Amino acid sequence: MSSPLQPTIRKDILLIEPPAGAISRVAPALKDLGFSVLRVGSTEVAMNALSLNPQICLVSVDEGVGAEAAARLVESAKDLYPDLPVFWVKRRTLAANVFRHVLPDVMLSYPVDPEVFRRQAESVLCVGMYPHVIVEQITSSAKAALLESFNTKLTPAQPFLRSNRNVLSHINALVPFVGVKVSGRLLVGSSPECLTAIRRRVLPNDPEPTSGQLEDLAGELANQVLGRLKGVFHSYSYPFELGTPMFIQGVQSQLRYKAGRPSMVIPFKDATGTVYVEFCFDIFDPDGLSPPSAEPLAPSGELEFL
Amino acid sequence: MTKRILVVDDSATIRQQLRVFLESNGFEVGEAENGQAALEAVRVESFNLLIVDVNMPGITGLELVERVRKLPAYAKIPVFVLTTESTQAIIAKGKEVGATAWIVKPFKPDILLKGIKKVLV
Repeated sequence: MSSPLQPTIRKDILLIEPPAGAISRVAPALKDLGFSVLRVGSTEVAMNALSLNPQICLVSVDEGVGAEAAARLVESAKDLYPDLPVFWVKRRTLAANVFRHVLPDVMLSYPVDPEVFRRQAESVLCVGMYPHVIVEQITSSAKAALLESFNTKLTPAQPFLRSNRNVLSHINALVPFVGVKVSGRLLVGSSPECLTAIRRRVLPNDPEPTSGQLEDLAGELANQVLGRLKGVFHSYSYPFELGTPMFIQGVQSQLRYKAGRPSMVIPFKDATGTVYVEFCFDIFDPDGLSPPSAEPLAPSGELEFL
Repeated sequence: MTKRILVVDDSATIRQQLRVFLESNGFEVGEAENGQAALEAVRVESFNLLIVDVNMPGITGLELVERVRKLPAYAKIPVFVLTTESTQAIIAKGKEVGATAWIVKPFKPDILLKGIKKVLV
């Protein structure tokens, strides 16, 4: 049975473009995320790299190296690795038959804005780095915690990989989790304004909260999101225990996880601001992953007399 | 006579939220931010029901329940566990140490209130 919890941790990005191509300006940002960037100038060298290197997690080909050859490369890459995301940098209107059977996943127009490339790359790499079931579970746990515990309905937005060292929010609560086969951390952060608005929904008559009280709220949210995830991992025989929350304040603060992969961020938005739920594995051992147990978890919100 | 409830949780947000809700429903509420503080509170004051988190620094919620049950005045007092823990193994442990009821966070206060009223007639 293929495991939905098994992540892909391929770390090399292959860029195929002529000399002085624009895409290589994005290489530092991608390296900062922990990826290696391999830049080649011809499709022959690229094909060789693809067949020898299963660590490649994204290919970007600029049709400036030759549209027909680039299209054949796309077909061969997809033949070797059907799930490998492929970007195409378009320089002119393509001939209708240049792609015979397989299309690239993302089309970008030359000259490519490195920021556009970076965002697109993060989006597809995020899907590769973190299994869909994890993203879904974190999203549903966060929505439930916000709505049921704090009467707050926020809309989840597209997950992304955090690409620099700066924390995303002013007030952040980070909870580590540790198990034999899985460990990492989960962070919930937001602005003072957004956290105050959330707190006011359940404590409308309270005076203006202190930053400590807002930290506590972020910590409780992180606790509830991670608590639900604990049950899910337990059912896959990947138990872990939660650590004590820690707090980081200040928009200029830096936070870097010394893990083997970048962290994934799911933003939750409404008119008052954004709550960021950030997640990172540092150990995830897919070997020996058992099928999920049939034992049901206790549903949240229901009172069970023992 | 007004019933008294002790809320034990290291989250000030949860303690305060429950205090406001339960007081608005006619209960008197005490707070303890950890197991040790809860043990001190139950020794000096009298409560009719305890609401206890599991994961707290120091004494865990289940250790607290086990110790509270050894106090004669609290041998049969309802103890509700309010926690993020949801596996059957830990719920079984909760039952073993003497918890009365289990609610997994996130929770709706009205459901908690319904359970409280059921045991505190």
